[in-house]
Parts: sequence; C-alpha cells; structure tokens
Amino acid sequence: VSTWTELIDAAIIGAARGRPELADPLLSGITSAGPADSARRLLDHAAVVSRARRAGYAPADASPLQAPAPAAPDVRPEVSDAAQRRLGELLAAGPAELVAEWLRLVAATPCRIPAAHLPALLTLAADDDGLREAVLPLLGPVSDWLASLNPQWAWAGSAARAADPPAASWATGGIGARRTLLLRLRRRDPAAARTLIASTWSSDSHRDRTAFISALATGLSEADEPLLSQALADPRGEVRLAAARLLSRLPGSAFARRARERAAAAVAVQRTVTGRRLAVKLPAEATPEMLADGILPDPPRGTGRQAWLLRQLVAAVPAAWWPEQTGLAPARLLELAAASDWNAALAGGWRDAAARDGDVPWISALLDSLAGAADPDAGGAGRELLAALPRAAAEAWLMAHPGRPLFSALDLVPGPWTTGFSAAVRGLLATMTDADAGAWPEGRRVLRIAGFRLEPPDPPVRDNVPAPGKLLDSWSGMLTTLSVRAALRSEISEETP
Amino acid sequence: MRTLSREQVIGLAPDPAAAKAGQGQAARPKWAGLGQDEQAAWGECQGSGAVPYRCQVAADDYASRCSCPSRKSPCKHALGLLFLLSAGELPRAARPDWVAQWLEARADRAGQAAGTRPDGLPADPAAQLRRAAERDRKVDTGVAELRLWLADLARTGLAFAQGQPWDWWDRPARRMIDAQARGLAGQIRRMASIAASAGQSADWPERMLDRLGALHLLCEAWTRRDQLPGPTADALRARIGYTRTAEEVRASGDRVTDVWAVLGQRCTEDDNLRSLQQWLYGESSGLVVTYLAFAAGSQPLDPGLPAGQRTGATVVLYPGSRPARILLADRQTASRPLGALPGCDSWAAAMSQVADVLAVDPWADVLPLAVRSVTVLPGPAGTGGQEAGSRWLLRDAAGHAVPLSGPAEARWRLYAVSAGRPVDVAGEWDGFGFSPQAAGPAGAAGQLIA
Repeated sequence: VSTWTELIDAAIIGAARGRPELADPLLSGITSAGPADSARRLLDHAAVVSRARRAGYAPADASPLQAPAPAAPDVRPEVSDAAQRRLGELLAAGPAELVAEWLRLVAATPCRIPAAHLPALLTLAADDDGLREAVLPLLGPVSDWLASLNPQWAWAGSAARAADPPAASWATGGIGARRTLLLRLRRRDPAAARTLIASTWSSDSHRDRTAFISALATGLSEADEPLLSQALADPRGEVRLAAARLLSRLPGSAFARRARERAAAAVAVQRTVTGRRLAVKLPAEATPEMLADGILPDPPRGTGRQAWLLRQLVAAVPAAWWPEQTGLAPARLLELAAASDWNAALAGGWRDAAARDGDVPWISALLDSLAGAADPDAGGAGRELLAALPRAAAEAWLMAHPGRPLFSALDLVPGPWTTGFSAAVRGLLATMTDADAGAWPEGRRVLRIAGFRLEPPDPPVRDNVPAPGKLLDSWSGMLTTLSVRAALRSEISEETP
Repeated sequence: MRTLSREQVIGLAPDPAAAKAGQGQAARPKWAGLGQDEQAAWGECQGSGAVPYRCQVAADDYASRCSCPSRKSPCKHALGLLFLLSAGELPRAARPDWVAQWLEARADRAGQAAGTRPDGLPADPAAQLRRAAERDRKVDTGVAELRLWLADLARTGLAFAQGQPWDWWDRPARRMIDAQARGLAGQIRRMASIAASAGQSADWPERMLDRLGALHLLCEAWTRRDQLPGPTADALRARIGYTRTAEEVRASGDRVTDVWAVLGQRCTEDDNLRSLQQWLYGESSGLVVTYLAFAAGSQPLDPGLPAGQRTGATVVLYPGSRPARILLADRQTASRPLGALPGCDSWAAAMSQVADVLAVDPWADVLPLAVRSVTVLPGPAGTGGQEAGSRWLLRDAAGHAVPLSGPAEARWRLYAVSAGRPVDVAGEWDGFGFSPQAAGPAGAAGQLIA
C-alpha cells in the first residue's frame, strides 16, 4: 500500500471520520497543522503527495506483455496528402455518398486507403451496404489485421471475405448478414447457395424464407425449380408469391408450362371483319390448381374478382411470351386491350410482368401509353417501370421525355450518370425557372441528386440568369457538391510526392 | 494578405453548414472585383438579390464585413472569399474605397480600445497601482473563503462531495469569479466535472484528490506569494487568473523564432465561447509551447498555425504557467508537411521533463509529451480499452509503459497507423494517462490523429 492509496482511502471517507496519520516518515514535517485540525492535515498531505506522485511518476514494467503480431506490409502507394485530408473531412462531416465516390475513384488507382482513416471508415461502412461494397475492393493487410481485433469490423477481415464464407455464420447470423452472404455466394456458386437455403428451410421464419427465395433471382436457373416448387407449396402466401414470380421466369419449368396454358386459354387474338380484337375467356373463379400456383383469390379493394384473376394470369407468363404467342408488338397489344372491356386488367398484368422481367420493348411501350393517358396513377406505375429498365434504356427514355417525367424520375437512374444523360440534365437545370421550381415539389430532391450523380461534375451554366430563388439553398448545395467532387478527382489523380 | 490552408478556412466557419455554404461561394464566376493586398481581401458577390453583396476580410484577424443579411460571422461570402484566397485565386489589386473606409474605421476603434487617453498619454501609473492592490485584496478574500470550503470538503470526504448537485460546486466557483480569481473557479468546475463523470471512470477519487491537492496548494501559495521564486510566482498568478494583455506580452515577453510543428489541437465550444488550443514543438529550439485563442459569439477565432504542419514563426512567450503560452508575433505564409516526430527515447526521460515543469509550476496539469519508438498494447479485442482491467498501454523500447487514454477513435487510429510496429507519438499527459494526438511509424513522417 502506497502513501497515495492510503491518502485516497482517507479522503473518500473524509477527515471527520478518519484521522490520516501517514506512515511515511518523509512526510512528517510537511504540515504545520496541529493534530486537532485533521482536515487541514489531509489537505496538506494531498497537496504534497499529489504533486510528488506526478513528479515521480514511474511507468510500469510491461516487458512481459505480448504485443499482437504486426500486420503484413502493404506495398500499395499512398494517395496524395490532399486526398488523404479530404477523406478525413468526409469521414468526419459526410456526406456518405462522397465517401463512396472517393473510394470508387481510388479503386481505379493502384493506391491504398490511408491507415489512419481505416478505423473510422470500417465503423461507418459496418452499417452501410453501399459503402461496404465500395470499401471491399480496397481492403488489404492492415484492415485485415484491424478486423481481427474489433468484432465490429469482422466483415472486413479476410476470413469473412474468403471464397468460402464460414457456413456457421449462416445458421447464426442476422437477416442482413445472411442475405449478404447468400447473395455473394449465389453470384459465385448458385448450387451452394441453394443448399444453404435448404439447410435451414424448415426452421426459418416466413419472412426469412421470402427473402431467401427472392435472393434466388440472382443466378436463376432451371436447377432452382425443385426448391421453388417446394416454396410454392408453402403455407404462407408471401413465400408462394415470391416463388411464383421466379418460376414464371423459368420457361422450361412445369409451372411455366401450366401458366402458358392458362394464359393462352384466357386471352386470344381473334380476327373479325373490322380487324383484330382480344377475346377474354375466364373461369368463374380461380381453380384449386391456380391457387396452388400462387394465384391470389381475393382482389384488392376496387378491383373485380375476374379482373384480378385475369391480371394475375397475364402476369404469370414472361412478358416476352405475349408478342411471340400472338405475333403482335407490345404497342399493338396495348391498343387492342384499350379497345376491350378488360383494359385495366390486361395492361396491369403486362405491367407487372414487364417490370419483373425488365423487358425493354414492353416497358417502352407501356411508358409511352402512360405518357399519353392522363392516368392519375401513371406516376407510380411509370416509376416502377422505369426502375426496372436497364440504365441505358432508362436514360434513353428519360432523355426523350424532358420536363416533368424526367425530373420526377431522376432518382431512379443510379449514379454516376453517363455523360450524355448528364449533359441532358445539365441543360434542363440551366433553364430551370422559379415557375418550374414551384410546379415541382421534388425540385429540392432533384438538385441534391444531380449534385451527386452528374458526370463529369460540371455545374449547369446559366448565362446571367439568376438561380431559381425559391430553391436557392438547394441550388448552392448542388454547386458545392459538384465543386467538392471536382476537387476529389484532381486530388486523387495528384502524384504522391 | 497571408494565405490560409483550406482546413484553416473551415476552422474559421461558425459551423459545418457555413463551411459547406462557403465552399459553394468559392467560384470565381460568382464574383466581381475580386482582389487583395497586405491588409485585406475583398470582392462583390452576386447573391439572389439585384445588388451584389460587398464582402471584405481583414488580414490581421480575419474579421469580416459583408452587406448580405446573414447574421453568421464570417458569413458564407466571407468564407468563399477565404477559400478563393487559399486556392491562390485572389489577384493583387488596388483597394476600392469601400474597403479602405472599413479598414480606417477598424483602425480607429482599435486605437480607442488600446486605452490611450485622448491626449495620447499613457494612463496614470498611480491609479494603475491602486487598481492592482484592490484586485489583490479581492483575491485575498476569495482565497480565504475557498480555504474554508476546501476544509469542509476534506472533512466530509470525496464520496460525499461526489454525490452533490452541480450547484453545490458552482456556487463557490461563481464566488471566485466575483473575487476576480477566474482560474480558481475553473479548478472547482474541473472537480465538478470529475464528480459528474464518476460513473464512467473508476479512478475518479484519484483524479479528484489530485485536483484537491493542487487547489489547496494554490491557496497556500497565494498566502505566501512574497516568498516564492519569480517564475513560480508568475505561474501562481497565471493559475489564479491574472491575465496579461497581448500588448503587455508583446512589449516585454521573450521572443523565439523557429519552425514550429503543430502536433496537437483541441477546439471546444462552451455556450457562446469557442476556444482553440494548439501544442507547438520548436524544431531547433526544442521548446514546446501552447497557443490559445478564444472567441465569443460571432467574433472570428484566430486559427493559429496550420495543424499537422510545420510553419516558420516568431512567438512571444507569456510569463507564468508552463508550458508557456505564446502570442504569434510573425508567421510565415508557407507551411510544410510534418517530418519525423520529435521526442524522448523513453517514458523515463519524458517523465523527467514533467518533473522539471512541476518544479517551476507545480500546478501544471495537462502537459505535451512526445516519445519515440513505442508499441501499442491493445486491450482485449473489441473493448476499446474502456472497461477496468482492459487498459491499452503504450510501451517504450525499454519495456516501460503508460496507460493510453483519450477518445477511442484516436486510440484506434494510433493503432492503425502503427500496423503493430513501433510508432513515434506526441500527445497529452494528464498525470494518469497519455492521450495521443499525432503519430507516425518510427522514424517516418507523422500526422495528426486526433
């Protein structure tokens, strides 16, 4: 027991209850207070001993302690000082979108992430799927070594990134981790992923089962049919629906054959004296076989029973099957549907199928028909269709439809945008007026998105026209984002001294 | 005018949103009539209104004025102007009239504030002595009250004091401010914050007893101030709360010209008061000094020297507390990146520096230390070193170690920079743990990590 610890004990309980008589003879002369003034004696001792403790601090002997083995050396070069500082600023103040962009730009160079920023980056990316994807290609020996010391960063370790993820984490992981693992495995080895799903199928919740079946969309093949058929018999409707969606994309499956037979029986093209027309023939209600294949019997409010059935039967086959079967282009089929009594159900079914399949000819035709019709629901349906289009097709359609449709759907085109599309958006922004800003409640969102996705990050040039006053904050926010992105590029391409 | 780094401009912004908005203004096409000379930078910025905003920034303290309606200071236009300055995009130009008028008005106000009487004569020396004696008497009264309060605290014990509400601590602190002993008030409030955070640190009784001892020693020393050696008496007055004006220090303080590496920086914001503290390590003098700046409300905060860089400057040392506080008398515009960090070769050598400081200023609390070639010994995986018994250590080449303290982020960054190999570090020692602020692989260039 040292003099200091004795003194602490005495101070905690107070001089009124204990009388600190310190054993150390060196301290005998330091207080002039009489034995009755115990508080004063305690204070005098505290003053001297606390100063002595600081002045005579002796670092402990730690030579027996084992330090962890060092990380393997990272031979990749450093990015420039400016790029390192920039990453530090972005990690401290955001936005996360620009951190991801920094990482993508550096991934195109031979450089590494500066070690000092790894802890903050790994922590931020632990909860952010997009950021994690951007970090993964840049990880190296130091992040590996850090991951082994902090469970929060385990995802960045080489064990977690290995070609064969430990199956143990499948049985015990959370839904997010399991889905990530499944998708990664599915890209590389679809059969192994299928086996993984089957291994816990009976004990997983219906929500998990739905998520895992949907994950099979990645790398879908005929080999998935048995598992999907099993899911089609699931007691829960969501699971059956997810399975049915995928089965309808496997043309060789028994399910797809049944769906084609039903679709052909329900809708036929007839020649009449005035031209062609669509003839619809439906059973009074869904048969047990249909129900077994995931057809839902009860329509949403406002839709008739038979219309609901028709929509599902139409959607259950691949969108591309209809032109093949009838010899008519999507636009022509939509015209015929419009002339029939079943327009809403037919167009709805095709919309569902086209969005699911990402079928470009169908989506283009459907979008054109929506743009023509003053359908109040067209915005929502149009967004769903646009989101299903491959990037190039989505950009092409939007560029052909400047104005309102383009602005309201900008968020559906992931960044970075192509230079052509960026130029089109930039041109529209350059002429955006206060009136536009008032008419488009999504103006603020549009400007924010444009800041992050325009490529290259050049600002729209407004020749002596002031920026729209109502959106001035968002406008200057966009300019700031663009200038930071331009700076990022020059900093990252700078040579390391 | 003297240029700034981008980081320094960001540091001048009143908040991060303003810094961002300022970057948005840093585009030359938005401006007309941009220019700078030795004393100011200026330009006219097109805002949303019809009339452009006239914006100007003074070179000596970065105070700004802008005709925009923003109440932030500096506003985004002034920040934009400074970002342009840091990017080297401000041409030298002849000062327009509106800038010249502003600078003249500033100079007039500064002249009045300096305390010269209208007739230009210095203030009456006898009156000054009278005021000084009056203040000493006020401090005498405050110290006498504080001694009674401390004796009560010692009688009832630290456990009792720890459980007291904030006001129990704050009342004597406010009394010390009335007694013109602001330093004593600060000491009491530090004890209050140790009490408040007792739940998070098992060693709070040690830390509080350490403060109690220092405070008691301050009171004792004050009553015997005539017997103290000069430097210790200066330190005592500084710790009690006697300040010197920048003019006094500039007139009488020792000057040191050197290249200074800023190896630690701490910004705080408390109510309406922002403060900045930097640790400056002199390259050839070997001196370690501290730069302190305060700004209330919308005043600009002088950013000191660029953090994590080396800059040539002449500093003036304040008399009193150790390590010495400084004024920046003259600073060069160009900064260079840090080289290998300076430092002792062992903790034993570093602790003997601590003892040297305490011999002059026994109240010294947080001290800058730098040690070379130390190894990080992390606590058990994932603990971040917070739980008792799982402390992180920093071990020198001789096998001696001190506990690592400070925020977990800085600790992990230190660890990442080390990659498991020896590092050179600079940071703060508070008598209990070492909080790292700059580090680099042993012998290689260092960087700020906190």
